Amino acid sequence: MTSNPRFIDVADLPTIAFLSRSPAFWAAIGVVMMEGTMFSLLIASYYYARLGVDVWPPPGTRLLGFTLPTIELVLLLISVPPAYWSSEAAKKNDIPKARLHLILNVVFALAALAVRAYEWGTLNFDWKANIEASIVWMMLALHTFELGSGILITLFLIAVSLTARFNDTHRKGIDFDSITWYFIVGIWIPMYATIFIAPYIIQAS
Amino acid sequence: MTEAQPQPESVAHLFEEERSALQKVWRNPRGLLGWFSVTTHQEIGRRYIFTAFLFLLAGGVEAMLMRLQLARPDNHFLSNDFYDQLFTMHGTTMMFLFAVPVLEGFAIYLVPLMVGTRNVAFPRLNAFGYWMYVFGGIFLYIGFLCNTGADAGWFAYTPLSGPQYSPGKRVDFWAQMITFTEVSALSVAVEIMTTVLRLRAPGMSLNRIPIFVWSVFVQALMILFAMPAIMLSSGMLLCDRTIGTHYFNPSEGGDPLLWQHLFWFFGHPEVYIIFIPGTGFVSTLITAATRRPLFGYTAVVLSLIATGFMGFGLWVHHMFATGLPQLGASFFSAATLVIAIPTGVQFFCWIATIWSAGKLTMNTATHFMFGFFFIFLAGGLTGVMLGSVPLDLQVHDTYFVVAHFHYVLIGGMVFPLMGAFYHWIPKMTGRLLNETAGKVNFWLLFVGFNLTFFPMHLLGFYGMPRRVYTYQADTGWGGLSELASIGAALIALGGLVFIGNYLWSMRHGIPAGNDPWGSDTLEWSTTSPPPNYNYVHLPTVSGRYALWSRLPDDPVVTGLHTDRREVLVTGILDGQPDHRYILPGSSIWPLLTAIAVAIGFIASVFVFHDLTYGIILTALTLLGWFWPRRDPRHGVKDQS
Repeated sequence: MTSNPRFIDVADLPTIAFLSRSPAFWAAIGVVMMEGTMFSLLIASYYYARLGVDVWPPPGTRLLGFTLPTIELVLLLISVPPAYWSSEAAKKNDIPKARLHLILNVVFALAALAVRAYEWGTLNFDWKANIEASIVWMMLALHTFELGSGILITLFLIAVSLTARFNDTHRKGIDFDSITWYFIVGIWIPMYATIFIAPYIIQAS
Repeated sequence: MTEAQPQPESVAHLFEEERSALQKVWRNPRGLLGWFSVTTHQEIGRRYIFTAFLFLLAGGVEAMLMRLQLARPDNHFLSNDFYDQLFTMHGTTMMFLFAVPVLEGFAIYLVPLMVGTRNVAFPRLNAFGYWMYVFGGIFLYIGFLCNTGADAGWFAYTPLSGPQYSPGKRVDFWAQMITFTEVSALSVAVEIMTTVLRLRAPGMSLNRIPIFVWSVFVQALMILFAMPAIMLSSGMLLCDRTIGTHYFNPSEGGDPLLWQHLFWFFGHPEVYIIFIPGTGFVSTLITAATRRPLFGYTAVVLSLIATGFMGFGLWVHHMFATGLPQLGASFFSAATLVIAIPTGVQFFCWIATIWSAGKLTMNTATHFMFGFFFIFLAGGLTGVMLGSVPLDLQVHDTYFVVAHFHYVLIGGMVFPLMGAFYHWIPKMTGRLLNETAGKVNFWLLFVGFNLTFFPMHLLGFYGMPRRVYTYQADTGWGGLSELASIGAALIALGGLVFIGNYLWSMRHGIPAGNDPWGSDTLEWSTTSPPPNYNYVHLPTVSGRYALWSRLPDDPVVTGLHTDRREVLVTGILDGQPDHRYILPGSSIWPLLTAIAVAIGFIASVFVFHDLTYGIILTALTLLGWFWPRRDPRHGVKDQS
């Protein structure tokens, strides 16, 4: 081993990289793969349940209005560009700019969450009503959990960015946060369409 | 990045300096707290393998009790209730607490060594996954010891497992254990996927990745797509049972078959999740035994990937007896037959490797490899039989199916795993296992296995149903059942020989040296057992068979910091150096987080809404986990 080997010196290489070059990106992709599968199966279960009954929604639930959910979806979609800009700023190590966009992102996300909370409170059925109600509640609960987690991570990153301990790991964290945020908003589009729009289309037997 | 020629006289000195620095940085912390804080892949991998082996013993004892009960007709050695718990615990233990975790243990131990890095990509996540697995297993067995053992079968079909037909907490313990082990499996999948994609040695392009690494990579991807299905469905089952949802309740529009669809969307890929690394073991053992390159490397890799894809298109063949539309049944029947093709390709590649080598080292590992050939082939063929709808309907829920899947799972996974033990234990411990005892071990298992499970094919044809605790003498099933029980005793004896061999060899075994087999993968170039940092200088790779194509002046990687846990990230396709990546050190937070999650999971079995406390506690522990530290070395403390 010590007999005069040649070597590849990597001392000059950077200690940070973004997107697919970074291991953190693949952690985010792993999260997207598993949670995407879970939500997809939940959506599939919804339509599978439709096959088993004559009328939809089944007795015990009513058709839901889609005004508030649409406002919520729009707020979520508006929160996406700031997430993107924050990750771009983090890549350029422009921390004040990244922080600003994180704050914008979280403001819209919190607004969407507030609309959802209000809308959820007006549902006239609980999870015990029938299978549609059970699935809708599961979708809302799991996605709201995702939404809440995403917001908490963003708030954490904003808080750390105000301290002297903000380092390269947190820059990668912002990148990670933005990727998972695209997913959280993106997966809500088919879920929103399933919960609020689809019943109008598939209600006849 | 630069290539340069060092001054010869300074090399030896520098080498020793770096080695002692690495030893310091990678040392596992001492003391009880330290033991709970370990994040090195070798230690976590060993713990996975050891824990899974304990669960194998538990599952084995359950199997022996069942065989004692079934050895003769009209036997009342066990009550029907206890028998129900036994077969459920046996299946659940073997699938969730033994088969997947032991393979994950091997992957965690071997992948960083095989791809030439120092640890998995997310070491703390790795530790967290291990604790989740341990807590899930303990939780299930505490239930079992308190007469709350799951009793609705390892697949817990609704409505039997629903609140109406399974009151009490037995099924709840089962459903929540699933969540624990799946969180663990998903954690491992993410880190194995990332480690394989980004932490390979320079020069290890995609077409140079060792076959075993390919196999666990495909396994990781399958886990990411399959396990969410069971987490979702077991969560739904728990909600049906605890808070009155109606997912599987037909009287409120729910559908018991929805459970079967979701369960088998996980359950069928699960078979391949278990079997694909088994074939990875076989390809590796065959290369070592013949000492020639594997015939058809590309075909074997493509077969692994194809199996991984197709594994998701077969789940309905478990449901032929549920009254499917004919077109659906035909599609899934055809898909079941088609998946035999990639496995067939692998078989022919293995045969061609042996054929063209002309010689073979017939050590214990090779014996187990041949055991795999015979047993798995038989299991695969009965699988093709079961893919045919009319035959499946005839033998559904009989012992024919029990025989089939034990041939597939024990043949496809346990025999290669035993071979893997004989092959890699010398690397893990520094001592060879005794060969004579190894061959006794093999023959006891091989004969015992066939004696146990071959008669079950016939019992199935004679109509003996599964999951029934006893049978009457006039059925004529007594003789073959007794034969199967004798076989089971031989299997148990084989297991004892293995344990005895291990214990004896650890004290008296021949020292293994770096590479007792003349093998080709990188782990054989370091010491046995390897140091915590694996390699003083990360290696580079210049061929598909890293050690066989290595030249004396092949370069090594220098310039990584030795005062922190630093590794090299390389390109996905060609493995060219990309950037340096700082890994975290030891940490107690993965354990604390796992405890917080466990509190939430366990509490929710009793009062569902108490899950909230678990979520709050988990958020707090995660805050501790990610608390920004002033130390730029990511918590690597000076352990000297």
